[in-house]
Amino acid sequence: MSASNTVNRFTLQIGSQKQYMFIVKVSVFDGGLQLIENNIVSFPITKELEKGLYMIRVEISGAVKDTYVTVDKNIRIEIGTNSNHLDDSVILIEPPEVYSSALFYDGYRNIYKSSHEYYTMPAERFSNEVTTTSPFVRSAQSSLFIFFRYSSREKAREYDALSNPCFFNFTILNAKGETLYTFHNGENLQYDMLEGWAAFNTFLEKGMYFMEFNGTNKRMIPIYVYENFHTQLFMSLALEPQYGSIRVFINPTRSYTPHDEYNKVIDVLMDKLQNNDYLLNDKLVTIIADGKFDSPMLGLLGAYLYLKSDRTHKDELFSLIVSNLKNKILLGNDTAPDLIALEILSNIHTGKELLLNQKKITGTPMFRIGYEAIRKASVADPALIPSNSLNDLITENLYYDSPLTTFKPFPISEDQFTRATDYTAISTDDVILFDQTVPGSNAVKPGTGSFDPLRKSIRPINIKTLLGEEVFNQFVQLPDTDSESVNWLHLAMAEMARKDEGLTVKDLSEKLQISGNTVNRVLKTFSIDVQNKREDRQF
Amino acid sequence: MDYAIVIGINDYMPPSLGGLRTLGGAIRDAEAIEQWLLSESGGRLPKQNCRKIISTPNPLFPLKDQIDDEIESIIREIMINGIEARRFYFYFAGHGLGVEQNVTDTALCLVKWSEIRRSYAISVEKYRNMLLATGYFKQVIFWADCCRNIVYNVEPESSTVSLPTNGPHAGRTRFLTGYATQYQDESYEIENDVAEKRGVFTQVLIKGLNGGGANPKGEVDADYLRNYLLKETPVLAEKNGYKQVPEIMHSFNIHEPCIFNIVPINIKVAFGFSPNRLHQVEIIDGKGETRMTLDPTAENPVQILLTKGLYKAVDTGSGESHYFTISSENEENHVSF
Repeated sequence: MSASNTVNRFTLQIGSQKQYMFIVKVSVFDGGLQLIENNIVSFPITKELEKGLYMIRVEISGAVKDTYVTVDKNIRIEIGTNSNHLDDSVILIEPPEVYSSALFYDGYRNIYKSSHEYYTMPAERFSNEVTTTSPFVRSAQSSLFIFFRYSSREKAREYDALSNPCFFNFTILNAKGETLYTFHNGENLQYDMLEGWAAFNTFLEKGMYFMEFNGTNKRMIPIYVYENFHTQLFMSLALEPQYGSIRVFINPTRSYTPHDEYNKVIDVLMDKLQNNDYLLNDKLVTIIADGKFDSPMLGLLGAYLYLKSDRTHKDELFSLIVSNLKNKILLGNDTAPDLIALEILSNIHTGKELLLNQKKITGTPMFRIGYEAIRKASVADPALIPSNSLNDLITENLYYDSPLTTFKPFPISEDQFTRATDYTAISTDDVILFDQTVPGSNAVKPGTGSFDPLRKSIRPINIKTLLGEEVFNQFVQLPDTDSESVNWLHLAMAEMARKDEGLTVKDLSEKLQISGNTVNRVLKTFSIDVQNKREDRQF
Repeated sequence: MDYAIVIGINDYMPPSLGGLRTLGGAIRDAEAIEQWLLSESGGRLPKQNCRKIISTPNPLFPLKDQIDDEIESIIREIMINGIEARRFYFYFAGHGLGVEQNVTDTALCLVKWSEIRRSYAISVEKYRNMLLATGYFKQVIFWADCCRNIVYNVEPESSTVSLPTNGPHAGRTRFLTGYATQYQDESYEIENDVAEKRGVFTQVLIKGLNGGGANPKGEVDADYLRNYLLKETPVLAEKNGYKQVPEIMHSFNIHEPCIFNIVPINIKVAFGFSPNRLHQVEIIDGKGETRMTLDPTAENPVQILLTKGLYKAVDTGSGESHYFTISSENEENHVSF
């Protein structure tokens, strides 16, 4: 390197204050406005640069802020809001303002501009107070807190929250599909229509619940209440609920505190989940590992993200986190669908075999990443999703615009949960079609759900043979596609079967990446409908 | 000789029938791209080489066949007349979907897309690969201003166009694919300066093509345009309260570059001084060198020429400084200090 080159090269060191270290990304553009460093996520970092002007872009969850600097000497930049401990030579870059439906506060200059005081105060207050007028289980050690808010009081007025607040259209159902609480006309809520917020809080026994939206574009949201923990859910509203904005926390204490640093990290993790961004830097992994006992959601989301990624360097740590979540941190909640989904994802990630009937899933994971893991695993192990179980019926009703498993509502019944645990019930319904189609070692013995070696010899039967020619011909005919009642899954199966009449249930299951029992259910429902119509005609 | 198919779809099967909401700006976006393609300061395509397909609500138009018909017509014209074609542009504005298990493809939804006709969409990758395979183009450019959220079990379709033999450039065609947003994310329409709904990505794309994406030689090339889109799209989206980061991939290199446009290197700048600015002002360029010194007392504003990039103005008396950027997308830049 020549002397002149050395003179014209300087170091640029970029650091971050603790609370932003895990959530910011930094990119560097040169004086020609060309990108020279993209998405730096580990801090501090030192770069050697030629003398010149540079643009530093700081990004948090898609919000960006650009700052210009002159590099004519060695430069130190710190990303943060507190300049107290910095000497004059350090350039402080404040992060961009961040939007979240959850309410946060950081000590110096709150970057969470959407955390208006007129929302933060009622959220803190009603996280501690029961709002329901209907009876609640006082003895329960767990509770559910839901906070609805518009992006601001001005937006609430713009969206006509005064005469038609979105939050009046929700109801809370239990796992049997029974309405526990309705929010109609503000029942069971504390709310302020002028400011545009509403809070729901009650004690509940552990288990699966549903929040149903009954307004335009109906939607069902599963919520799990963990024993000895408090589930806290935040959602933004506009003309319709903003399902992508949902944030969920599982806290050991009932109070919601906007200062909680772990909740801010959870906010970022949920954003990553929504964007399929599975990259966790080492410091974020450390925070997850350290914080999981105080904040189980941190461990849950961290494990989901890591196990969904292709990385393997922290397999041991995350296996331990998954095990600790089930056996220590969330002890007594081992039937929670998200914990089972994590185990399944962990097995997929590490290449371990899933044993048939080993997992019994009652209900559905709160997080879509968990539901999708179960659905994917059910291709090889159909018993994970029995016919007419909740996870089976969600298949064609799932929405993809939220990190949660939200779906088009259908009547919820206790039977959908029973089916997941009672393998006798599964086999009587499912073997009729499915087990005849399963070649070899995965065969299920009728009435037991266990492996039946005798069935190895059964040849796969195509669905044309199973349905019979007449029913098959009706099945593959395109129904009136303008009708809302037509099941798209039926259409997809019909399209495939029309092109290849030799397809078996297993083939369709593999092509569609859904449980063979779901394929069965669609075929069987159609077959029964045809039978019923035939009988009607006879009368 | 360059060719283009420009598609703008506002109209879809109604949501009550499982379809998609009507868009406000897709047709306008397509028209703006068409205008750039045909303009002398832009793509310089002959009018007959730019095939615009815009939607109508009743009857719902276009269907997939109409798109394939236009592709066939272009290829037939090239084959029959022995035309040496250079570039094929494919632009789409409308609803789009991400494709499960394929992070690089996008399903471009056509008018009859609905919950139960999930595959009524064309695949960017399948169409691009078909165009590459024909061998009749040296370069194939795809721009898709649409969302890429996932909807389960969407299998976008291939083109029905498939040639028996390949053209002269088979296996050597370079491509660029530009998506308005990342896999699984949304793209947005916002109101422009004249209160018309327009796609964020297309607005930035046109500015980039008009010079914002120019390299120091004044050439709008694939790399500089990509960087411009990555830099400016999130900023425009955020101004309107949205998050949107585009995704651009290409196979061009320095030996086989893709030059979309050539713009003047020197850009006119009207540099204005505040009344209390009395000392000389130094203009520092992106390399940190003093490019020129201006006298606020002599002429205000003063007309100067600068190349695209980042600059700093420094008041030599007070030491006060001000960073500013010069972009070649505008004929004249204005700076106040």
